[in-house]
Amino acid sequence: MRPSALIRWANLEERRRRQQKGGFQALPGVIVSVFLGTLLAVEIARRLLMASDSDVVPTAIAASNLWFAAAVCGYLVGVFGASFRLFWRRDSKLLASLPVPGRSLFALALWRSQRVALHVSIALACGLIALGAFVDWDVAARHTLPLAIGFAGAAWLGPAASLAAGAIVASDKAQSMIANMGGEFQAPRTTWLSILPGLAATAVAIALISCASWTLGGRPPGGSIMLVAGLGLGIPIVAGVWAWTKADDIVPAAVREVAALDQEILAHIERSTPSALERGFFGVWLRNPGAHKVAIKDASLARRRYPSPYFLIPVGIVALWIVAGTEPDAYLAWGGSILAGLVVYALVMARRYMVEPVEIPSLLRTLPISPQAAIAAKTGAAQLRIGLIAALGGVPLILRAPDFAGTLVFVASVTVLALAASQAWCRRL
Amino acid sequence: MLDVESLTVHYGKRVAVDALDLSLQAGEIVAMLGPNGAGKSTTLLAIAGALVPSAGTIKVDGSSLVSAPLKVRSRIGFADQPPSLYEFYTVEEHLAFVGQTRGADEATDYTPLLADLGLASIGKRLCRELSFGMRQRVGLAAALVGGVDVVLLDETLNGLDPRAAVRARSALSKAAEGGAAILMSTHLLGIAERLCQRILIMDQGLLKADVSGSELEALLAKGPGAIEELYLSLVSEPGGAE
Repeated sequence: MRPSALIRWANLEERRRRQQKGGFQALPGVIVSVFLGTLLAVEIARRLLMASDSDVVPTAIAASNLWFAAAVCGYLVGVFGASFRLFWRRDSKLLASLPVPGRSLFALALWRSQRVALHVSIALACGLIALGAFVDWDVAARHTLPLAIGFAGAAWLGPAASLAAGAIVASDKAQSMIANMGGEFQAPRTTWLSILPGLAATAVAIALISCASWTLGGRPPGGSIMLVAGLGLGIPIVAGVWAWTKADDIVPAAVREVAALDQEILAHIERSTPSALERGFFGVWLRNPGAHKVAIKDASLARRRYPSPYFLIPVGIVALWIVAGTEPDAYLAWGGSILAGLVVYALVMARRYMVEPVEIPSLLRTLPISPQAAIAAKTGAAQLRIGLIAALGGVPLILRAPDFAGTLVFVASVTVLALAASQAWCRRL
Repeated sequence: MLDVESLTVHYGKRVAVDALDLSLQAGEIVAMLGPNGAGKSTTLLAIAGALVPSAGTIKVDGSSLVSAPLKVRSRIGFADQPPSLYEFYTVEEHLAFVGQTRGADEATDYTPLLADLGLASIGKRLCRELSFGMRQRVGLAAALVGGVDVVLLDETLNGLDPRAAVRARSALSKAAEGGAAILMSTHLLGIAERLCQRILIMDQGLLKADVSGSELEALLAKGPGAIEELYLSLVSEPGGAE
């Protein structure tokens, strides 16, 4: 089956699925992008319009930082989603037994990644209009470079990193080498589907933030914006071309392996249990026995199926400590972006607890566990992660901040918003 | 048509299928019996290419699943359990998609196949609206589309009403007459007796019996229950007690 035919079939299924869901999710992605972009533009405009004459420059910097925070969050979600578009698909079990060429499967993932990148870019472009109108069109024009770098990262680097991770997952030789190096610690092999996109996302975030001072007329890191542009655009394109040439060899075997891992009965034996922290938190927080059972079950399955947060969130918290310790010039831009990115990631992962294979709603309805108890378990898991990010990452950021009050308000706002979002996000099972 | 040599599948330290050798001829319908956990589904998944075996070779007409995976998979139809269906495709669209992956033309008409399986009236319905038995039949239809040479069925005939079961048997016989080799796992000994020319019995990953030809005829001549007796004499009790 040719890539264009597979994309056409996939779009048909996706369109009907979205229509069936209704509401916000049934809207075309472009409309959602323009809506979110308008919100961003309004917030940028509000800040700039309310600034007094003496505060124009700091406010312009803050508005640019807000734009960068949105860019980092949006593109990071795009990069992280690549593994879901390529391997962790609803139909991976069926695709694993059908003669679909790896390049067609990769083309579909690439097409979807490019679409996500485009939607994020449209939203950010709306924000740039506000920056241009209320600060300077030259400043807005300079922001198109990070826009292009973010697009390239989400559209090409993310899928390429996922493909490379798939090669590691499907290779017994690579697994054997990793097992020898790991010794006692043996992470599930699908962890790589998160680790490599995670590293790619980090690289994209660093590239974006590296452009921050230059977009406002400052010096770029290394003294040359061409270097940043070359690396930020060149690496994703080269990675995308490499992945395209390797897709036929790697994707079918990796899809097969991941599909098999999705089914407990077919999986390599990788039993996981909740961490001590999760057991302790759920024991104290979830008094309802049903909620406690659901939370323990979710954590056990999630550690095997979605192990990435157990690695990436601690890494993100360490990154926040580094920011707090080194106090870079753009302190809030760095710290805020990482913190917001981590919180968005925790929310995205919370949604995974609501659907198969972690939760089977039809089975849950037959068990003597109330929906409220199950929802409390899902919400509790999300709140634990958000709380950890805020306590271990946000508090040091506040304590070391040059602008203590501003940082406190920012961290508190992000945390409160995230906790509220987790309630809304996990409301319907 | 289908040649399996020394097929071995490990789940961690557990051996699910242990050095299985198996050959199927064109037009042959073979039943694979065995208790839960005997390795039947794992065998079918490995032959279908949905699972990477730990060792062994799988060939269709001399082409290896490892060296020519797309070519081999385009000649194998697999109905898994539960059937993997695109919930938001209509039945016709699902068959068209699967058929096209196997090289069928976009203009292929699946109406005759749907009629054979008693699905003609639901061709325009979304797969998500179907009952269990209908899903089983759509899974069977998807395994048959695209002119496949090997059909693998994982308990696909379970859960069908009597009329649907008759239609399914008829469709399978027609596919076998057309030259397809059919390997089906089942717990329905009656279907094995009536439909199959050969019966395999698996237990604990091992092939315990391979009965065909005059041997099978002699067994069937003993009357109803003969296959059940053979089965019970060969397989262990669940939990390992003999």
